[in-house]
Amino acid sequence: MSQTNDAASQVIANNMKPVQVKLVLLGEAAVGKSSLVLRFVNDEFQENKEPTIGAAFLTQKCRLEDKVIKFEIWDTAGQERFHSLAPMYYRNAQAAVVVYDVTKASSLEKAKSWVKELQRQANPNIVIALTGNKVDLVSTGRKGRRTSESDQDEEEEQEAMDLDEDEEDDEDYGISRQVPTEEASAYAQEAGLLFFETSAKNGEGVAEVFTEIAKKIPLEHILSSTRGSRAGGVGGSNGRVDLQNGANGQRLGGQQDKGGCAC
Amino acid sequence: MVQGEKNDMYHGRLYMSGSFLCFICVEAKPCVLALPLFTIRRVERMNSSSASYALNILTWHQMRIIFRLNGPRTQCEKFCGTLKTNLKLQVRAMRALKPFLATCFSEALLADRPDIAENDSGLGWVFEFPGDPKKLKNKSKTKLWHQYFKDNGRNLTMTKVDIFPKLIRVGLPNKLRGEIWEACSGSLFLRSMNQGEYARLLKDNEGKMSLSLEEIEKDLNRSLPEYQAYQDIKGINRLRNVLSAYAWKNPDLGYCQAMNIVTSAILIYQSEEQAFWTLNVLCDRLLPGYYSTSMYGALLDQTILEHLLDKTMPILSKHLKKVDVQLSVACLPWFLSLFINSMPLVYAFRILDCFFFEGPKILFQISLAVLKVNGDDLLAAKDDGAFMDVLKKYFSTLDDSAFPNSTNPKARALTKFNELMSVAFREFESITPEMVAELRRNHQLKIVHNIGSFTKRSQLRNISPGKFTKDEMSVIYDRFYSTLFYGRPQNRSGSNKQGEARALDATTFVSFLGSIAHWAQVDDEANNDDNSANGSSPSRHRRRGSNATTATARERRQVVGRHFISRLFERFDQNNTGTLSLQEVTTGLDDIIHGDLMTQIQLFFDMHDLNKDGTLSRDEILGMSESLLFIFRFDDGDTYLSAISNFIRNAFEFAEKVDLPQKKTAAAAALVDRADAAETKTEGAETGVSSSLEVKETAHASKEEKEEIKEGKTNEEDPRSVSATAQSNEEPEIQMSLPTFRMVVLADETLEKFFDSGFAASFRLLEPVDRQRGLFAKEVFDSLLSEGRKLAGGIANNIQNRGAGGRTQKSLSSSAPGTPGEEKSSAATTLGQSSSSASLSEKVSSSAAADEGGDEKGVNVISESDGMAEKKSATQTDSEKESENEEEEEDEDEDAEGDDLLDEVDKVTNFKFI
Repeated sequence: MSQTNDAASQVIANNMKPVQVKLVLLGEAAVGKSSLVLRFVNDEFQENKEPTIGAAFLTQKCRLEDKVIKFEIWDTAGQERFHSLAPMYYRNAQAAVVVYDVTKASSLEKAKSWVKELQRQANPNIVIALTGNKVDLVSTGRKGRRTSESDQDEEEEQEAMDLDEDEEDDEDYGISRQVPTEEASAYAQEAGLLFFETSAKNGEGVAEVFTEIAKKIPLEHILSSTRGSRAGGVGGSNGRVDLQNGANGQRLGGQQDKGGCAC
Repeated sequence: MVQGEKNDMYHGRLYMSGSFLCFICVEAKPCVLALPLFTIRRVERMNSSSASYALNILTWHQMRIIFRLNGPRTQCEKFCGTLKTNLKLQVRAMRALKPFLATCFSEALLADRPDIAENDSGLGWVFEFPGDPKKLKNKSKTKLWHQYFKDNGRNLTMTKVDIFPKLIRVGLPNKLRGEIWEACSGSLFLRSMNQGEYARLLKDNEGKMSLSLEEIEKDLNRSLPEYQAYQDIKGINRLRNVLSAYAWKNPDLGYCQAMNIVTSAILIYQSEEQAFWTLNVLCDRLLPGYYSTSMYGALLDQTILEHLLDKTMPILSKHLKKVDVQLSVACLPWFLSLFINSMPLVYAFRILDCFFFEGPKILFQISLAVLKVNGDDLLAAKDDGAFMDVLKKYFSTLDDSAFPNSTNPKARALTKFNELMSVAFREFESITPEMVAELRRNHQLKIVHNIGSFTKRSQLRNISPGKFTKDEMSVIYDRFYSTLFYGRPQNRSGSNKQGEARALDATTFVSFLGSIAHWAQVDDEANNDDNSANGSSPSRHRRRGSNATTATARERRQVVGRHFISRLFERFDQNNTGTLSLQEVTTGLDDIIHGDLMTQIQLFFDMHDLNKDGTLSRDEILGMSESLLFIFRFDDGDTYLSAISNFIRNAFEFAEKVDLPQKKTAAAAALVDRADAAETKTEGAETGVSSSLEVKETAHASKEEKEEIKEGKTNEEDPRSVSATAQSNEEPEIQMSLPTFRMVVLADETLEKFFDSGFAASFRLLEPVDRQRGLFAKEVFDSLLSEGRKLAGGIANNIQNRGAGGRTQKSLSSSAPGTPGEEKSSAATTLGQSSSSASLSEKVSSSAAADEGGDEKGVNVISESDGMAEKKSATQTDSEKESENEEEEEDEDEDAEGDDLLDEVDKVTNFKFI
């Protein structure tokens, strides 16, 4: 967190100055990290989003009860060889969204290793949300038969894992789910994580991820800690920084106008 | 030297290699030429009235170049002779020239042919080029190049003269861009000399799959998706082909995200084959290590950027540190994707134009300029977020006027991009390729170390450390991997095996143990003895005995030691794989070091109970005493000896007698006597080491002891001990159970202490083990190696595969001081071959580097010029005296190295960096 907060914190109760929350997205390549962010920040979806190189940075404001939270989102590159760069982005993060692809079992394994790394290396109070993305791929083909088949889900998933299908055959409509909700959710519970399933494509569940994170983050703690650590002095320059943020906010302005943002 | 009808003259140096003739001007006027020998149509010796020697060369493109050689006649003759030989060898290559030139757009342009084949051109030919051609002044730029080609040759025979950099900096015309990128980066030469390799790579690997290919597949639809061609199967296929071919060619690197972005961008201007070779130059030479599995090159350049920022803009640098903003969060993507996804495409291509010509220094210049131009805003930024916003906003407004409020319409017309370029070149002019190369050298160890420590941390996280502290684990890790890397000299020159080694085998375990416990240094013992011989009393005494005995004793001791360690190895190897992982080693050591008296006793008991019957037989007891002697062999003093003799005595006394009690007792007594004898002797002048030797020999009742043992006692005891051995061979007669063993141990204070704490303490993790093994450099490279598994496979593989085998490795392990020297000589050996394409693309100012090479190897340096020159002459300079010998050397080099120019180029460049 940065100095901006101290000014912010002093007036927050009255003026609704935002609380900054640094959030990092981690997960295997092509699970949809950038798309989740894009959905959250711009409420858009791009079919072929360029892979993130290094990391992308975006911000989004969010209202929670009587507070405004400004998420500073670091969207990291997923390819394994970028792994060594990750600490640069997750240091000081208050929240992390660890994303996997529900149609790809291996991506959950990677997610688990990220969680492990975060729990050992990152900010000890970090709030971690495990998020299974691309549920649209499994629900579209299935919605109709869901009721009848719900019992067989697990068997099917086993099969899917054995087949180890290439995920490229998206067109083939009924792509099978490889990570059962129950399995991931059980893991999340055991590891003390928030758990969601989302679709960046149709927006399902995306806002909840961020809202729930916002609820779980000890905002008061952030405020008081920043208030404590930074004395007045910097206050003068904070105004300028906020202007900067404001300038940036214009691009995101759309969301703010939508009344308390996507959340 | 003269070109066309212009009759310009340049003074400089001429170099010849097996396949190139290179000229670099030494004057202020830049002029660089790398002429592949197969593009020479004819060479004539000019009739010249003066004493000087002149060659009139006619190139493929009917351009006449005259080289006027200044130097002793014999030397010039020799040069011509070599040239002749080399030219003959190139005849075959010449045949491939014509089809190759058909793929060059410059040929079509000058021949007024409409165009080149679609497959030989970039996607832009079909899908249009980014930007408005009118706004880009495409037509007039093409015209300028048309003229330039006429005057100075084109593609393979192009001479780069002073106007060349200017033409580059204003931006290249669309259809020529790809080819000039090739000519600047040197990939043109790679392509011309490896025709067909690209197609072959694709064909040979057709239908195969690999991890890289899967990764590529994921990104195909997400590379410049906004460009029309990549919404089309045609564009996607080309991108797939180029990336896959590269992954097949360089499987260690494979595929790294960001390569897709760079490749998709260059494919707009280049054909598949062109892009493939350009990608080669990018990954191997311009951006070494950027896309490797550890991305060390990219991290390295980030460190350098920080360093340069600190030097050039200290206030901003301090500010960023103060507010804890890491420069690389913003700048890393710029470098990795060459600004392609950071700014509008048209501008990114302008930067690429300069980048291919001037090299990676451009990335630094542009980056610093970006930071400078935004300096005020960045100084106001208080966190990463604000910092990123400033830059994002800046890049999205590059089109805007830099001086919107100026009254001067010309100034108003300048865009922010113009301003950026001029700041980059004007204010950061001091950043030269040499400087970048130097900085890369200076910072690389740090990076390698950081990466190493990252791998280390992440690996240690997954190891259950037992009772070890973090520091101790760190030592175990270091020793473990340094043993893996250095512990098997026989593999050093060998191929990539060691890159994969992740576990200790029985041999390396010995070295590993030796690195943490002095007693386990079996291999070095011979040296120890010899070294300590200088005046220290123990060895002097031993010297008195026969040398043969000492040697045999030493051998015996080594055998005992190895047995002991191998039994330890088996014990550590819990899952019986025959190798020890870091975890197994950790657990094994943990059991010992943090075990208590009873576990220690149990451990020794189990280790010596060879037949696992739960009791120690007579031989096993003797084995135990030998092991103990082995462990104590470096400890001075007699306490241990008497302890061991006590041990033997007690062991035989208290052990359960199974059979033939009398005989056994006698035998035992004999042994004990011998031990006593040794002990007595020790009380005299002998010291621990040599006595222990004797005791051991006694225990073994071996023949050699006769010599060593002094008069009197020897005679008495000999027969008896021999008989003892005999008996022991006949019948196993005593059995000592664990409780008895315990009792025997506890009965002796020294032994008790040893089992209680001494043995555990013999493993030294935090203090050095007698001899310092963990030199910094070694550790760096061992961590490096270790990360070969995961992160720095690229580096390790570079070390093993690219460098010239053993030589490279030697220089690496000798680390910092060794590297520059090694590099220099390597550069020199290959310069004959590589100066052409390397210096070419490293551009004009690399003449300095070429000079260096010239001095070392004397690559046909032709001597002094007085510059009196007729109107058509080029002259060469250099010190006369040395050149003759040097030339000879060079000839050999040429012969030896022959055609493998490109390989060599690769090696040099890779090596340089590593």
